[in-house]
Amino acid sequence: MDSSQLLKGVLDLAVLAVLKERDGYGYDVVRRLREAGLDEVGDASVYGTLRRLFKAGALTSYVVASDEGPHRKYYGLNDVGRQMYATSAKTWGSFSATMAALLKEERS
Amino acid sequence: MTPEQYAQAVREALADHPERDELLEDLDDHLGEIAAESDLPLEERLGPPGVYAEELAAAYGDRPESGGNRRTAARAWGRRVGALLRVSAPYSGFRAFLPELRPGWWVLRGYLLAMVVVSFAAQVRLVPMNPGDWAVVLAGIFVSVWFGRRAGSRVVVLLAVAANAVAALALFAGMVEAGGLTTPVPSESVATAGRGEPVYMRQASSDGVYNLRPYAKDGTPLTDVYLYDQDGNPFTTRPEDYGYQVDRSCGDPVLNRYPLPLIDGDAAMEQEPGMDAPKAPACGSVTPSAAPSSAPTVSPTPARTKGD
Repeated sequence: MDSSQLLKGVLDLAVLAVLKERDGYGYDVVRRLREAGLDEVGDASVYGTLRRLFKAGALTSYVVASDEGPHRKYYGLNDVGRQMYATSAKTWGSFSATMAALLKEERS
Repeated sequence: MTPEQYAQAVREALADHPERDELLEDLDDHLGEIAAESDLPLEERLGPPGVYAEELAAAYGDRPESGGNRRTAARAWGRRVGALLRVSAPYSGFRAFLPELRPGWWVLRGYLLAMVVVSFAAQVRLVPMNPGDWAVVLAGIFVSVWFGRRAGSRVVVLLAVAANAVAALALFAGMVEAGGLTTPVPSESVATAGRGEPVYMRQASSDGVYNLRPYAKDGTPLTDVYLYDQDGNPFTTRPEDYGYQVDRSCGDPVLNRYPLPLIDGDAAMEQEPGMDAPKAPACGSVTPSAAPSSAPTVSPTPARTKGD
């Protein structure tokens, strides 16, 4: 199965999970997702998801000046984002448990 | 490709995105961050800018993915054709020249719409026939030019499109009408009769008549009757328009001698319901004459009464 198709459905939750841990800027979020094992995540997909979540009012943003490179726009969860994360995480937990049980039955 | 160039290419690819500025707000900084972390070119790490733009828009959610539907594909194709045309010198020259034609079109539009109005009021015509028509034409041109010079709000643009369509239709109808007038009117035609001199032969076929059956006062059918109009011209019909042909088995008949010997598609003599078929003149029994030797005269003879 193409994991990139699965990723599309849970990218919002993955990004929210990364930002729940700590605030981050665009490329930082991409890098942390890849470090977590989501190797196929695309930079444009993450950047677009960040902009959409920000537009939906789930994220705050602030600019941090940098002496070494360009200014960085950091994103973090606000109350709406945290609520969205909690709801999505619950849904995912239930869904993944169902899938795990289903696959366990298939294996046995 | 520098981050700025890459960002610009992405912006161009998303030129028609309704929220492009909001979506790409900090793209330059983001791409600069990526470029700073590696020496690999951005195209190699992120793919072509067009693909990046499509992926970005798909993740943002307000636009389907590349090739997602026909409308998107058609728009992309239209943009490509438009870009090609814009760099074409003849097309650019033509586009630059178009605005200069506008005042002329405004005048023509006003004139045509005015003629549509006056044609509704009376008979259809393409040129003003009286001072009233001229007044309407001048008013139409004035309104059309005033209308054209107004900076277009949406309502004005819609009205202008409607007015242009009506004017274009009027122009087309006028051209068709003008073309029709150059076609020969078939009710009269030039034919050769007698000694080969062209004469106008009056046709009766436009009234649905293709043959004539003269009868004497006592009801006897007459044959070989020559008919002429008031000017002395042969009076003919066009039986071929009604599926009949003049029987030429005895040579060329005189076309104004009635009844005409007609045959239909089956080469049978014309037979009308309820009537005896008139006999075709016997071959050689009549000397053809295309024109009367003199104008027919009527010499009424008063009936004598008893006692005269």
